Amino acid sequence: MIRKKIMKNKILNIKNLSKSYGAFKVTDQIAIDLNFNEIHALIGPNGAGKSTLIKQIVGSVKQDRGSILLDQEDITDLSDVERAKIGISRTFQVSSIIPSFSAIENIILSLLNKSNKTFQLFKNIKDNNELELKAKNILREIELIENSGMVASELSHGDRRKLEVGLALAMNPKVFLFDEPMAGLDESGTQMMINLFKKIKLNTPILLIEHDMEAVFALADRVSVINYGKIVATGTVDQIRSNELVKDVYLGYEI
Amino acid sequence: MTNILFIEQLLNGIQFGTMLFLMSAGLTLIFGVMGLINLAHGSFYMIGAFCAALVAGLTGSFWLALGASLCGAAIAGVLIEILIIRRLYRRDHLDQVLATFALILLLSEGVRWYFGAFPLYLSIPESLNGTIPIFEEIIYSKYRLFIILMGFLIAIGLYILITKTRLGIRIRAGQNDREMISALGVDISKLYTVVFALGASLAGLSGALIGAIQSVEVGMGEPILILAFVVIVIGGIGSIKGAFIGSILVGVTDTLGRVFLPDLLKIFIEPSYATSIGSSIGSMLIYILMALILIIKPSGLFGKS
Amino acid sequence: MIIEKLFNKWILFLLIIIPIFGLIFEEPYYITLTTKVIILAIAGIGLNLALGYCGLISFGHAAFFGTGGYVTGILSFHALNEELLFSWPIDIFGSSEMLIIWPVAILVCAFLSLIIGFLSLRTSGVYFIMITLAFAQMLYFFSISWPTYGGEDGLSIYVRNSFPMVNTMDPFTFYFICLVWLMITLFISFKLINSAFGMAFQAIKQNEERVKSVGIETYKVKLIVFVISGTMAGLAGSLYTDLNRFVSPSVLDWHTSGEIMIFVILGGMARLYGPIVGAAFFIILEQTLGTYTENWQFWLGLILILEILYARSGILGLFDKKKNNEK
Repeated sequence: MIRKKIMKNKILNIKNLSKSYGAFKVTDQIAIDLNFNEIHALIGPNGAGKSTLIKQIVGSVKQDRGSILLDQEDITDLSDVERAKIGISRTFQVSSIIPSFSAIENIILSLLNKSNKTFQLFKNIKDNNELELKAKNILREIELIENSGMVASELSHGDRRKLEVGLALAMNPKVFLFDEPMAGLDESGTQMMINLFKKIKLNTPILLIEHDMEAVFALADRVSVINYGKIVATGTVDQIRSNELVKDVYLGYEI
Repeated sequence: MTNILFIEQLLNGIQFGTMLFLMSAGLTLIFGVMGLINLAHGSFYMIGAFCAALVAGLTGSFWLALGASLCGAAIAGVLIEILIIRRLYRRDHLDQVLATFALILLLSEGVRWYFGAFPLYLSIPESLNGTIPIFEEIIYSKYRLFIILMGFLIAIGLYILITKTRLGIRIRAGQNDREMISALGVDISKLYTVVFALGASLAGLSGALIGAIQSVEVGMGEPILILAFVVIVIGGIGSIKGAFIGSILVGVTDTLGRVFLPDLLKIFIEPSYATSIGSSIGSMLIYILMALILIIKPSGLFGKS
Repeated sequence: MIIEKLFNKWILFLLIIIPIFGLIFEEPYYITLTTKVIILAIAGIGLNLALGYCGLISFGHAAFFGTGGYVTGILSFHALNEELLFSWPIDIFGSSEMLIIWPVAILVCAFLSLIIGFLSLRTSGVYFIMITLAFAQMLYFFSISWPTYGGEDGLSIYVRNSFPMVNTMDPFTFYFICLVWLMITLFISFKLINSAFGMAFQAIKQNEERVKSVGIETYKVKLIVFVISGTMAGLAGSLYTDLNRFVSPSVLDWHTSGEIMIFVILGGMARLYGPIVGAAFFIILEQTLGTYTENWQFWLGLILILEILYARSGILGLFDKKKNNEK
């Protein structure tokens, strides 16, 4: 009974996930999970396999072995679009937005799937007040409402990072995968993200890849360390700080 | 009797395939190394044939004409690469398609302007005229056999060039990683010009070789260009091995299909219908083959997925 | 932008005023020429949806243009000879009624573009370009080797198909029919690009991976765009057969695909009126250069190359400085 309850608490459960290119193992028997109301941070040096792991979870890279369960449903064989549709939402490490769309149009694009509007062929999207309202709410949350009409390619780097997160938010998913959302943000931007993520996790758990250790320690409920494609340690922030192995991996980082 | 016909047509298919290979090897190299989709490749086939016809007319020598086709197409290739093509490497595929399509109009009309609209003829040299017995009762055209041999020799030559020479190493490096060749200290723009000229000269040579069987006329490169596209889609874009296997596959399928499908269908349906349906389907056969291969392998037999 | 809009109005104005002058001064040639521009523009508008707005570089729209043309020719041919088109499973006759021909042409082309799109869209990049080209060539060779409908010589239908209450043989009447179709395709395009669906396919052109990641089935979106696009080209083909009262394998030739592409590019991609400007420019070029030299396509090639190398955003783009600078 108790065991079942623990299982139920895991919204994302990844087992034994492996992928190699030739002899090079990018991810090696990765096991990682995500509980409700949790921010689980994934840290590790560059090239450790973090981004490949994200790609495998969203389905853009096929795993050689292993399984992925979302809300107890096996999604291992689903395509990337199907996974996005049922509730995996990601941000990209390098901002990936629609350059000619305005900020609000970018958000509306992200709202289409959940509101079943994608295949509305002839109704003018600009007449849809409901979507516009929802989009504005999200823009307010990511503090981008003043620039809502600005073309995305003309937004500042920081604003693009915010929009990236906004696109993920708009999908209203079951889990978030954030790939270095704070990269290149100034202090106030980082603080805004930290506050936002704390609010998000009350409803939706987050798997967070981040290099900004201060942000990680301020946010994470659990931290996993990945190196050479393997998870070398998982634990609370304090456990990870005092772990000798982790210090080896992060030689040079102040932990 | 049917056996002899079959083997003869099989050889015709292989002969056609080797010529397709000369076209598609250049196309696939140019795409693999420079990332350029070159619709104007068929124009070099035409230029080669016209150069050959011109020189043959002046000197009467078939061999000089073949040399002229190689040189003429290579020179045209160098000029066009420097003037136009090199501005397209960094453009998207659409620009490349359009610019090289425009180049076809330019080159075809230019050649028509200069040589007139009437086809020219290139004659097969005395020594390759007639037939030769190859196996018991089977006799075959000397010239076609010569084309097959040329094709295979060039394929082997290309293989050696790509695997054994310094140019080959650079070409392979260029296919795998464009940044790497600049790191190796190779003058990229020179390499690109050489590769383009190599592709152009192969196309020119095949134009001259085929020009001696058919006629030399404006637009002669277009049908074979599109077949070469089918070849590299089947073989996998960028793969020379794929281009070779694809060429033979397409050459043989096309030739045998056109000849035998009508007869094959006569077994099942009324002869008068069988002839027209058979020849129609025969002409579509390679495209059906391509569709089938793509359903199974969307990036071709030897393409990187 | 304002100048571009003004220019667009002028273009439509010219499309209306030239035939009226043709009517008044009894110069039916100009009416026919304008009709040709309109029909080619319809094909261009179709391709613009796939190519300009969705980024699908189809080099095989001749397949749809030509099929629309042949459906029209074949139906009309059978009506003329009073032969059955099919005797199995039921007797089906040909027809010379546009109101019957159009829906048949539209359905056949929609079905064809569904099949070609279904297969081609599994690939992307260069493969897509070459495969669409190859499928069109397949139909081209089929049309040449199929003797029933004239093979290489093509098929003449002698009398333009009819429309209730009017005389379609009158150039101005037929021009007007085509103009209405142009307005319909323009309207459909306009509605599409401003819809939620339009948002999705325009986003796909810029960043397909992102669109997938927000849960939009890009394959399905692209397939629908491709089908609409192919169907519009097919409709244009149907009108083109009626304009010439003749259809031949040249409508399926890859030069036709290239030319439809040129209308889109000359006018400026992803601009609603672009294909009209492009088609008009193409015909004007053909008419003016063609009177001086037989080799007018040499100059067309030169103009195209210069445009692609130096003035990438098309004729309409010349009025839109901002977009020019982006490139």
